[in-house]
Amino acid sequence: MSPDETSKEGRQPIAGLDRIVHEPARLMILAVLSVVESADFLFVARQTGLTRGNLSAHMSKLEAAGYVEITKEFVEKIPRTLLRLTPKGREAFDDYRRKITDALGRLPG
Amino acid sequence: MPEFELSEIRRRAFRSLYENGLPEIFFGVILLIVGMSLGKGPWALPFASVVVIFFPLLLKAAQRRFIYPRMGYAGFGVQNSDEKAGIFPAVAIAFIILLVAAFVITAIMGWNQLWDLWSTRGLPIYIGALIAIGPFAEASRFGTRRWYVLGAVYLASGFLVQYLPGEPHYTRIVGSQLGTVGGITLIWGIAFFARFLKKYPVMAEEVDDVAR
Repeated sequence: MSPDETSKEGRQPIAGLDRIVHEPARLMILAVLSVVESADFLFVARQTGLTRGNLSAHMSKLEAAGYVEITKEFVEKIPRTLLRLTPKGREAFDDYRRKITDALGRLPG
Repeated sequence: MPEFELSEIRRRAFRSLYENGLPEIFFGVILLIVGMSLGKGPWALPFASVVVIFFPLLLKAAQRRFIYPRMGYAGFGVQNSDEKAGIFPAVAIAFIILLVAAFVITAIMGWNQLWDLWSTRGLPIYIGALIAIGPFAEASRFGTRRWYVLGAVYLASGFLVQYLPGEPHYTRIVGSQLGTVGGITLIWGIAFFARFLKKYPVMAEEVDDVAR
């Protein structure tokens, strides 16, 4: 197989990547949420290095896609916004990891 | 993202909540009180029991007060499928059980000389290994280097405490051992906790919400 043919084959899985997940900031958020049961806003901001405004905007998109569940609770009268990956979000994230690994593996070295 | 390895992301997340000196402070207090109880008398045992029983609650309360406002909150209930359980804790526990079983059986058989050897030499080593399991297991799981050092100090204490002057008696030896490592752990924890508080001030109140 020539390098050109390999490149054509490699494009197909890349084109099929979920664009909601593919964005670097959202990918970081999903990666952090995938390793915890739930986390609050400050924790995700600390771990990803995103500003609150930036994180807030990305969380809205992830929530709209059904990938993240956002709940509010009060701990000792202090409001806390808890973020959690939904089963759909976990599936999308795992699927993205499989596809990107596959796509990068197919690229000519 | 510098590296896309979920186990590393999980470790980093865990370290951000637990690598702050608080667990060492609580563990140090427990060891110190138990050591004092054994070395000086049973008066401190009720205090030790209270600290041990309420350890998770006290740690949680301290985390709510000092850690979450600085680092945020995360629950670690979900196990990462990429993460493989380390074999070290299982091997260490099996080895200790075998060691204790061998000594106990021979002691029961009435070999007084061996009992003396066990109570003054073997027991401190056993206690040192026992308390080192926690720091070593957590260090190997989450890559926290300072807990390796703490585990090594606990292990070494079992060998070093045998050189204490005076008539050896196992309660005094083990009491001194636990008291000493408890004190070291407590000072160690306070130093790291003070550094943590200085390094991570409480973040200014901001809108904790998601744009809709």
